[in-house]
Amino acid sequence: MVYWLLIPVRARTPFLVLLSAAYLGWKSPAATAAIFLWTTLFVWAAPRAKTASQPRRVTGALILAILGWLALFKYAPVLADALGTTELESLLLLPIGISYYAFKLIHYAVEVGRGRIPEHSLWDALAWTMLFPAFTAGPIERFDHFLLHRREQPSEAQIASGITRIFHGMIKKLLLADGFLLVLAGDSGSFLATLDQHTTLEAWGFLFLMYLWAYLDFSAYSDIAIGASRLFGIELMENFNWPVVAASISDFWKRWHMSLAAWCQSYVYMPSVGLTRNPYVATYATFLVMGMWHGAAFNWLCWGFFHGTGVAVHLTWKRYKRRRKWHKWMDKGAWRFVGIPPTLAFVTAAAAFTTTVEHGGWAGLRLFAKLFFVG
Amino acid sequence: MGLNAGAVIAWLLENAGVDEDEVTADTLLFSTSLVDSFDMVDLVAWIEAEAGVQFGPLDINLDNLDSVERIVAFVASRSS
Repeated sequence: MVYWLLIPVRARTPFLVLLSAAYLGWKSPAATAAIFLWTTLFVWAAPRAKTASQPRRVTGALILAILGWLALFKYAPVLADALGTTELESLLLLPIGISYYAFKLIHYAVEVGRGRIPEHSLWDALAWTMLFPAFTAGPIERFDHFLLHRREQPSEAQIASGITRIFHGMIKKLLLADGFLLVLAGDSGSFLATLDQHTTLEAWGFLFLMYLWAYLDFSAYSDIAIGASRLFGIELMENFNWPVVAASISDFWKRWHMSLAAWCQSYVYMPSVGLTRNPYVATYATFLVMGMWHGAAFNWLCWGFFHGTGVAVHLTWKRYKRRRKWHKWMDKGAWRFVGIPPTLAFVTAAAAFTTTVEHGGWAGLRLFAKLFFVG
Repeated sequence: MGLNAGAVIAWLLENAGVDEDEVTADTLLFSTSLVDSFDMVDLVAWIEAEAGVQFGPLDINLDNLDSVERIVAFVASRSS
């Protein structure tokens, strides 16, 4: 209410920046300073790509710089740990939101370099990178989308839907995810410790609950981010679209963490196709990047490889169907739903790697193998 | 050599499993998943062969490929 009633229109974007900075600064002053400095650098440097003698070098340098920053905090401690040096881990605590704003800034550098971003101010860019509802858990909002989907005047309908969406998210997170599913599934450490006493069916059941928990937990954060942003007249990108009813693994990736999938399609898959002209290489590159974006652990690499294999196999099958004109009947009517159970099974199996991240790669492989009567 | 919208649409109908009523010149192709990402490779190869243009590594992006009219515009820009 303060935002709409007391803050003049021209001051609302700076106010949102200050509000976001205050919230983030309370959580981590160092991380807040970092995102402020990085955004300012990108806003100053990225437009120079349009007039530079070698524009791609400017964009490339910015991308390498932010990736280096991300790698320093995300992967250097893991590497140091692997080499037996644990001090680095305490020195380089992962700044909040780093994975999200790194990818946002890469998008910014590329699209500004292409001339695809409308005129904007530093305040606009800071409001976008620091937007506190979406800072720690996304969506990975595109800057052009952000600029186009802001209101200058309040909308009762938007504010009401924002409040509703926040409540939906809180119910999903507090009641369904943490209050029910997590309690039902139990602790992953305990399950792993007694893995040899569980049946394969119990392993599938455990992972299915963990997959549902992950979906409700993660989508709840997106609901709260989208809902809270609506209170400020900002309509963020959607991030989930009922992935539990996905009819294929390709369909799943059009429904799960959609903002990340779209980012990877634009900035990993397509450049990989451009360099290799090989859709399989591009697919695996995309999913391995996705895996590593989530975390610097062997489990995430396995997860990425598994999903990449699923997508590669599915798209190969889709081509095979099309060449035989089978798609004319297999992709219509009730046949469209045949793929839902195997897709659910596939993503449930992938949860073997994500549920065991804190227990290590071997735990993930053991749990995965248990799904196929091994161990 | 240029490329017209009709030829691109005909390729999409024949090779990408798209139905005639699903695609017009400005329909978004890849960002809406109407055409899957594997088909992007085949589409690029066909455009290069048909129109005699070359895609650089960074030319493969949604700006140039995400609709029939964008494809035609890209080919025209490379042909002139």
